Amino acid sequence: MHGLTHPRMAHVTPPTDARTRYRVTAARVFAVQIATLLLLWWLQVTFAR
Amino acid sequence: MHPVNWAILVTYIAYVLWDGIRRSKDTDNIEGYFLANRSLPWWAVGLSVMATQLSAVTMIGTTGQGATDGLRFIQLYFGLPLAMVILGVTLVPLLHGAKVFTAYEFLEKRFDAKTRSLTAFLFLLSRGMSCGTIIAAPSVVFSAIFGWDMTWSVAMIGIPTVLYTMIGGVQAVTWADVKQMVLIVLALLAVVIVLLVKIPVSPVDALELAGATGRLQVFDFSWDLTQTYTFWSGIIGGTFLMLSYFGTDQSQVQRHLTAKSVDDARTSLMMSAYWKIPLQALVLIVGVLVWVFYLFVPGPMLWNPVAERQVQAEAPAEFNALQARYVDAWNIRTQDARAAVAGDHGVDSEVTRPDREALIESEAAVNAVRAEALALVTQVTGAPSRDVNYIIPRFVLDWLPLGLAGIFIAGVIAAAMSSIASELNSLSTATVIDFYRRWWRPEGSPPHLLRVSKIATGLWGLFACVVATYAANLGSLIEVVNRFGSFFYGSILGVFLLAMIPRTNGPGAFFGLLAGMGVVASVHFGLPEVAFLWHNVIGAVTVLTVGVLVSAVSPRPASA
Repeated sequence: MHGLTHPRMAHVTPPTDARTRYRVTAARVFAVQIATLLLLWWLQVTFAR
Repeated sequence: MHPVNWAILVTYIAYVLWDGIRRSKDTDNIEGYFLANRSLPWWAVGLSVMATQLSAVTMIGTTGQGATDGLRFIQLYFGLPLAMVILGVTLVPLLHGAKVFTAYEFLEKRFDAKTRSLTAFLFLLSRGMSCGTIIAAPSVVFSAIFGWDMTWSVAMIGIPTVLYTMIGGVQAVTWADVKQMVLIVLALLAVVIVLLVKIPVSPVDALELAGATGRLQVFDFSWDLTQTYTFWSGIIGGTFLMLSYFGTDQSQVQRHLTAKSVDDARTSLMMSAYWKIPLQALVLIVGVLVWVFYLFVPGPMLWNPVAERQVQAEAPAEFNALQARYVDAWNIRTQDARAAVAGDHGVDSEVTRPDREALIESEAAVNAVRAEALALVTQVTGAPSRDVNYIIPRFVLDWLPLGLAGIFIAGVIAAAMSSIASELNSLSTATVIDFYRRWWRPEGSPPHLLRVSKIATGLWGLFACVVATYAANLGSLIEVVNRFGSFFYGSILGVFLLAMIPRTNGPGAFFGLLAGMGVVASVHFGLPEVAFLWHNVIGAVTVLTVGVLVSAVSPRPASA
């Protein structure tokens, strides 16, 4: 049984709509991070010769 | 320092003190004093989380690191967004749901009292000492730059912070953090704008010069475990470090426990997930631009003015010879920098490429003279000669316009205060909740516990100020404590991860924690070349493995 679905941890598992909202937030965080890393990569390859 | 800059500094300190003290009206029990009755909005908590992490070391040490090493340090934070997303569905709802004051209190509910007490004790030991070093770092620099007595520097930062934290509790800490974070970001942005105006080449040329000497080299994809900052150590080791720091370290856990709901706590952490890497890039870029600035404006050979004066007085012949060589090397580097950017912005240009190589050579020549000068400092003073922390303060005082220098120094003090206040607040919480109320006075009345909490905050503040004042003499002791801290950081995370695995128990957690710390200590002494970020991974994985095995073979309590 997965840790977060164990009865003792039941209160940890967010309800479905909250879970969906959180997935969207997580996707946004990763999108921003990837964009930031790409910007840093662009700085490096453009100027660091 | 100019009286206008002094006036800004004094006004800032007086305002923070007044604002903090007036918050005491809302704290008449320990839930209010330590957790603001779990009522704070996500944005205030989020700014407090960021302000706690960003200390004066970031403002003067990391910017200096940007000037000497460039942007590669930023890789340390690559794991932070992932850690925040993981925490949002694991420890944040777990700790909020458990309605605890401290992360360690949760461990007693899940495992047993000895696991709670051991983790809380380790927290008090490491944070108590680190609080002193956080005050000491800017105090040492201010003492050298302004010629102040160390005690006076420590008092200027420490006393107001201890007072507002002791009187106003977490409300004062959080709302001061909000204003301090705004001040810090404004100060950094103002310095960048001033630098862009003062540097006598275009921003693109400035980036080309920084890039030519490797200062825009961010990514290192090597799997070399001895390199501290690589992409992989940042993504893997950094994720474990940030999980441990934000999820199990009371100085951060207490920030998000003050949020009014689990959703607010999650959102407050997301603020760091979005902004920490760009903010850290801004901090490092300040340093990179300061380096570009000093390509065209003569800077000192030694940045620490005290060391400079001492060497000049005690070894004048050697100092003058090095100074003459430094000026020559600096002049050649300036010519090469001008040639590298003259009339051509094409980075692949055949014209600029040889000039870039000349710049790299002349930069190496400047660094070689500086290395000899630093060795002379060590020889004369008998003390470590690293002077990276002095680069930005000297630039600020010598070159920032009137008033802006005062704002930046206030920003450095704000960064120190915000970290110290959160640490004092959490040290007091762990002392009172995990030890005093748990073991000595479980039936203590609310007014009594509130009084004890304020006394504990004051005593921890006093301890931190004493450690800071004698930091120079306690150097090796502080290093030992910090090293010891790195032994258990990943291991404590392992205990919390173990808590989320069904059928694990107290003996598993306790012996897992001891095994994790032991293995990390063995790796540290047996393979000292392994970079510290990997210690967090090793510690957490060991605790999980040993914890699961011990739990499987140890008898389960009847109530489980």
